[in-house]
Amino acid sequence: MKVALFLMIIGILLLLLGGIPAVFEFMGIQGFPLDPTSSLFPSHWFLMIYGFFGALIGNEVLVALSVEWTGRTADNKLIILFIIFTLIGSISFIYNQQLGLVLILVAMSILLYYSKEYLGRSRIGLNPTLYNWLLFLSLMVTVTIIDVQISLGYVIPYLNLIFPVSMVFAVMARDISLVTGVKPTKGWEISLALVLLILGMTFRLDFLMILAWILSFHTSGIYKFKGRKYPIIHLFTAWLYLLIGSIFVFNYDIFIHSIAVGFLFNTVFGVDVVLMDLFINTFQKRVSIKPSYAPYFLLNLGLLMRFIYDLGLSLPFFLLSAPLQGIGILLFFILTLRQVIK
Amino acid sequence: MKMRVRNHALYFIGILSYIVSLIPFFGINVIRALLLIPVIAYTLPILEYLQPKIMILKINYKDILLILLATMPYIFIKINIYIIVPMALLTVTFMFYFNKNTMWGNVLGTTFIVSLSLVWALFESNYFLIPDIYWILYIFTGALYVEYKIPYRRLNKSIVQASWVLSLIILTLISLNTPLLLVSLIEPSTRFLRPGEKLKSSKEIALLGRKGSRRDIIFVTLLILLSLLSLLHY
Repeated sequence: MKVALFLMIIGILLLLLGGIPAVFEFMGIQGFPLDPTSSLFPSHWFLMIYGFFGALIGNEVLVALSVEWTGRTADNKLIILFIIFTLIGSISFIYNQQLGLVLILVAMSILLYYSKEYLGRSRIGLNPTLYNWLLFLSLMVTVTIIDVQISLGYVIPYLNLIFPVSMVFAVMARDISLVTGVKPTKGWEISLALVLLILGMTFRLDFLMILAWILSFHTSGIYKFKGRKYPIIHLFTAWLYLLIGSIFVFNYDIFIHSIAVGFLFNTVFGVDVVLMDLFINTFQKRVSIKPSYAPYFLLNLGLLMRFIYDLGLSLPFFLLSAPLQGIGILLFFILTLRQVIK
Repeated sequence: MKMRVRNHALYFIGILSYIVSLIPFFGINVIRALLLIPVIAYTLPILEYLQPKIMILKINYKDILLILLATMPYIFIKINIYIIVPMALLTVTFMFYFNKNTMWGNVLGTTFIVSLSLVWALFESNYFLIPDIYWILYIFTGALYVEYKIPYRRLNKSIVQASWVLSLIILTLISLNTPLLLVSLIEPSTRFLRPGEKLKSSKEIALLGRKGSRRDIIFVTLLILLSLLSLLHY
């Protein structure tokens, strides 16, 4: 239990380390004179994807989802090993990109290794479902992407987004029906959507991404607006951003951040409340998390300003964009953790 | 005369108002700012002494003398449209007390005290008045919020919300060029837009007050930081 919480906290620390430089960087572009963390900015994407999302997803794979499927969490030693490699991998990337990639490769391999648990029978004797296979596939693709970059000797930042995005798709394949109450729909649709999305993102092809979006949006059933209001609003917004990202592939900042911030964080906000319940159940401590809309409002307001700015409209007011995104994300974790650690 | 502080809140917001009037701490008349300290040091006790008397509208000659004493330093102020704000607030406060409407009298009286920060800022030749307006509207809605929370008061929740929405609109409009200041409004928004249930018993009022003062300090601290950052940008 302590280890899982520790992993969460490491993830949030890496979020700060990766996020704050980006806030200052974006404000710097808008003419703000202060940028104390500029040396960290080149590692921003890596700290966010493999540091923060790595820790978050590691938590899902090794703890929360694991309890659900196998009835127990991963071995503490394995979790600690994962924490160590995620942490030193993230930090060393700041100094040496290759070293960072190699260490993170180990961390991801730990997840890949552990995902074998998901390919066996569940504790109540179920056979692996689609989501188990997608989870495995997602980690396979991630390890491949890291490998490619190591062998190339340079990094292609946006490619790494496939890691959290495909993981969200995998988890969605199962959780979406928990959230919406709509029966799980055809598995081929979400699988095809995932494959198309991976291809579309890799080659930055808008038509593939839009096709993936249509398939995933259709199969998710979010548009039916059934189930709990809080997650549905978040997921709907998340999918809107995925569409925006697919359409604006040509604008790098919009493409990246509608996916990295809009899609991923709205999903995390919306679904983590559900997942947090599981997380807490692990510790036999039943707390129902009271969600707040404040993070949602701040994050999306900031992000919208950012896109308008990206499209060429510059107002002094938009200086607020980056801080609002940062505060929104931070607020979510503060509010959630405060309720978990009570 | 034996001094006994009864109204801690008055001193608290009085001192914070003085700090707010000093923002951004540079480009202001330092000597006048220092002169204000003794002035405020006797203004606040006078206000504390007069407040219950004004509430029941029993004022004698001695009290009028005190009022004159308290207003004297402000003869040296450059006349500015903003002076209207505290004057109007004071007038309206009197009107409410006169009509035995204690609740609104208290709310506007409190707002009057913090609106002195405008006067003090002008006295210090400080023309960056945006933080003062933030502070005044924040305290106004905050006072309404407290009145709503008090069990025996009858104030509709929607008045607190409407007051804050209106404040947000005004503050957004005046902050179009210094948008970072708006960050300070996030925490109050979560409180004032969803004020929650009324307190169950009067015993909880003290706790509410303590929590409130902590948040007031955070608000002013943010206001200072964000003002400095905003001015750095321009």
